[in-house]
Amino acid sequence: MSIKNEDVVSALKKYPLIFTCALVSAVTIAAIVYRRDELPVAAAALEEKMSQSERLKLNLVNSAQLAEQRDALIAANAAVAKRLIKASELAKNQQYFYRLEAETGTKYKDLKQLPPTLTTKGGGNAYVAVPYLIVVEGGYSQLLSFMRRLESGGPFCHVSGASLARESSEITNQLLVLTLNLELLGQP
Amino acid sequence: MPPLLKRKPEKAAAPLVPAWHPNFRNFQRLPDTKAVRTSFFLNGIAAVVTICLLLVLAYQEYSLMELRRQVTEAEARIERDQRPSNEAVALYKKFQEEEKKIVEVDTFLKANIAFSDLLVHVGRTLRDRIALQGVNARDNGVILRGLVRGAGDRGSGEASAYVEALKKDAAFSQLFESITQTSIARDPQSGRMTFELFLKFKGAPAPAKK
Repeated sequence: MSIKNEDVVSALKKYPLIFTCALVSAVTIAAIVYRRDELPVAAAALEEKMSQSERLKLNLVNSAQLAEQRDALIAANAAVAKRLIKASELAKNQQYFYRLEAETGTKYKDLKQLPPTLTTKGGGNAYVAVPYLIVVEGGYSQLLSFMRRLESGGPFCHVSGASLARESSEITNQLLVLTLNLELLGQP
Repeated sequence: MPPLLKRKPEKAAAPLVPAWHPNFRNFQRLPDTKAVRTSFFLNGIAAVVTICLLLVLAYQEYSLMELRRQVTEAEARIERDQRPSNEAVALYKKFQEEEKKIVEVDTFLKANIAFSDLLVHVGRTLRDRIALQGVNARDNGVILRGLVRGAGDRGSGEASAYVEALKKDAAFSQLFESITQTSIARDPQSGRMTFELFLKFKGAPAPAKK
């Protein structure tokens, strides 16, 4: 069975609205299908742009006082730098300890500067720790004063070990011996 | 034009039931109502389907246009904020460099033993019959060595009371996790009791077993 042109023309003339609707529907379906894939692409692009925009906005909000905060840190680091020692300046470093000795009336039995070490593991350190082994003797109040000055003195001091004991076993002997393992913060 | 509305002859030949009044309708001349119904409904359904499809397409296009408008707006915001944001990021890197130095100093000082404060507080908590021979501070804790006046029961009782007093001390309980008596023995020369206490810092690793 074949459809002749006359039949089609005849049907077209007979139902013009139906044919027009069918044609328009076919074109509309084709357009819907063709354009449907663009929606998720546009949505994904919008999501990406929105997240980027939010990130930039957050950067701006969070950096509102960043310049002032950085200036404050620079000032703090400048203050820190004034209190640093240099491991290579042995004589100058020992001068600090001898001044303490003179001020507190204590007496060193041993004073050694050891090779500098890293302050923290992991590298990228801005400072080094300069270790010292100190054995100092004196009365209780003298040694206490010595410790106080050391802890709150010029260079930053980290006491890693301390031992206070009588110099002798005689109960009448008031002299004490303070053994200190400490580190001073220094420039690399 | 074919006679669309012409009634089909078989309709006229339908069996007639006896009517209660005479039927004067001329079926041959009446229009075909089925053809009207079919034409109307088919056209209507086709039109409705087409309109629905057009509405779907219109909604889809509107959504797409709205999304593209929002993308354009977001791009404009990005373009506006990009430069100041880049400057802020660069500034933050410089801030981090400075912050790292401060953190390093803070870490260096945080693990510090405030030995002078410790000595003063140990002196305050000392009891009448007890004398300290040595104080040894390490990274994991503090060792106190001392003598108790009075031998035997009384001496060991004083040492235990001293340990209890240290445990109840507010400053020590904040600083130390535990306070334990590691040894107590009689000193043969003086006849006094010697003792040793270990005050373990909070969070410090346990001392290695010998």
